[in-house]
Amino acid sequence: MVDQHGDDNAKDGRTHAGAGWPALEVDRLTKRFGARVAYEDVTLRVERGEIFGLLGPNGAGKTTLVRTLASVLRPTSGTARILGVPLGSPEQADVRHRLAVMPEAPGLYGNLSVRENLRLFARLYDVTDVEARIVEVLEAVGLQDREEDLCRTLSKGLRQRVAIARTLLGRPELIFLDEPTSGLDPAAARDVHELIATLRAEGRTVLITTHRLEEAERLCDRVAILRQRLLVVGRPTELGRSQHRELQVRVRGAAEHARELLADLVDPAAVEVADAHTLRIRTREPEELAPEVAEALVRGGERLVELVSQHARLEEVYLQLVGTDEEAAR
Amino acid sequence: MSWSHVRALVAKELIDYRRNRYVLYSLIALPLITFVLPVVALASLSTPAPPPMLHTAVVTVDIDFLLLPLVLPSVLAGYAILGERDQGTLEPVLTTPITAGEFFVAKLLAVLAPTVTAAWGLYVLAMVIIAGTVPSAVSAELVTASSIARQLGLDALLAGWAVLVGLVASTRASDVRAAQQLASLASLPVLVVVVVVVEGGIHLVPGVGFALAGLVALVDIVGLVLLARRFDAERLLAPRPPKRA
Repeated sequence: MVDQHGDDNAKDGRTHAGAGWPALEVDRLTKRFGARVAYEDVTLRVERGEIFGLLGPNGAGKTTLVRTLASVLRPTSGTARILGVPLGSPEQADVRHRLAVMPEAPGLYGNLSVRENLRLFARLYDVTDVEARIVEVLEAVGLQDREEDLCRTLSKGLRQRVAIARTLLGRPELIFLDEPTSGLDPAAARDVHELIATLRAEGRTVLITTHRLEEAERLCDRVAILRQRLLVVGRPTELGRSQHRELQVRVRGAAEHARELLADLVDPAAVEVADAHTLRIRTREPEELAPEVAEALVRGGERLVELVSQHARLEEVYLQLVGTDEEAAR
Repeated sequence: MSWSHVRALVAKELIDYRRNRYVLYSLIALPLITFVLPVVALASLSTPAPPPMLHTAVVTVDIDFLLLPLVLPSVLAGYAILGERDQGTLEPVLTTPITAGEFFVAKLLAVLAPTVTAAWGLYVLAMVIIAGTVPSAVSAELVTASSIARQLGLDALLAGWAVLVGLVASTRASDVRAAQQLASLASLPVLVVVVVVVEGGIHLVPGVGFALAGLVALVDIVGLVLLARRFDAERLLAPRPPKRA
């Protein structure tokens, strides 16, 4: 089993700077490669123990932002604190003991076995009980029977699991997973989701970049949509509420008749006939509108079967924001 | 400097060499050519060989054995950093607590150790075979205490220089082959100096030899420190702009 707490490194005798700070605090961070903007003006905060999703289309700057936060790339401007330690400060080496990064490509040595790969990284993370820890992380990802296989002989899904095992070696408090299910079949992706759920249960902070929206919706406490700039940050459900809501009305009679009954109450342009008995009404306040709709229908002699307030799914919010932004950029 | 980080990375490199066919073939083929050519050349000398011909043969053998520590590192060191980038392992390694200094010391030792071992081992083996098989007039010219000391010393120094140049090329070039070619090219001027030394153009009395060795060692150390300090991962990991159609 993997340890129960995210700060087990303290057992190794290391004292940690930045206790009490959020896992990530990013303030107006910008990265440019020459004239090209990778991302700009990114401000966000990720609390400890949170699973945070960074969404965005390809080329939105997600990977570059992760590489900056992992101190592989230098920001052009702005500041960030990783586990309370300022990015670029001399304490950065200590922070590297407390975080782990899984890049989009698993980044394993193909000519080394699973165990040899893990042994190398365990030593680089100064793990004290190397062989025992390898057994633990292999068990955590269900690969104990593949430890002697060369990594180049493994399927992509298994390589991804080894890469996740590698991120667990140093018992990190903060884990960056860059597109962890990219290119995986549904079964392998589900395994990765289960592993991420385990990390949440252990209280570790995880930042996931993905463009799989259902994955973010299912796994993440909060998400941010990035397209060079942060377009929005919030809980997946809250984002749905804030962006787009509707009231779904199902009647026994004809939907067209119901629409006529509601003509004085709702702007006809906001009402859509979904099928013979169903209407969809776009509104910002469905809960407030619902009783009035019910009353108008009953007064008009219509029999109400169902009245449901619905929020936009994350996918709709994403497409709305990214699409709008794309149009603005043209 | 954490030597456990260095040891871990060196151990990984040595395993990787053994299982990487490209590196393995280079490690076998180059030393084999270095070994076979001089032995055949000496065996084919007529007996008794005229002094100018004997001198040429001896110089050729000396130079031949000095090629290995110059050429082999360009193959291995050229691959050292760019090879990591190409297989996607550079980013995970650089996000661990390893420092740039530890990273480059490990890379240097991982290339230096097999190179010097191969160069010394083959040279000693060749000298034993030559001493036992070729006419004594020839072997007496070649197998002398001073030439052996000079050869073994130069092997280590040349390899150190070639590894450093190879590592620099591997952090600056765009691909592995370009890095290897660049490293080989950058080693050529040193080869000219070596030829002059072997030909007797520079007489290596012990004092001069030690001074020269110290100078090369100092250049290697300073070069390694500068390489680690100026290492810019961004150069290797930044997304590359799309190629023009």
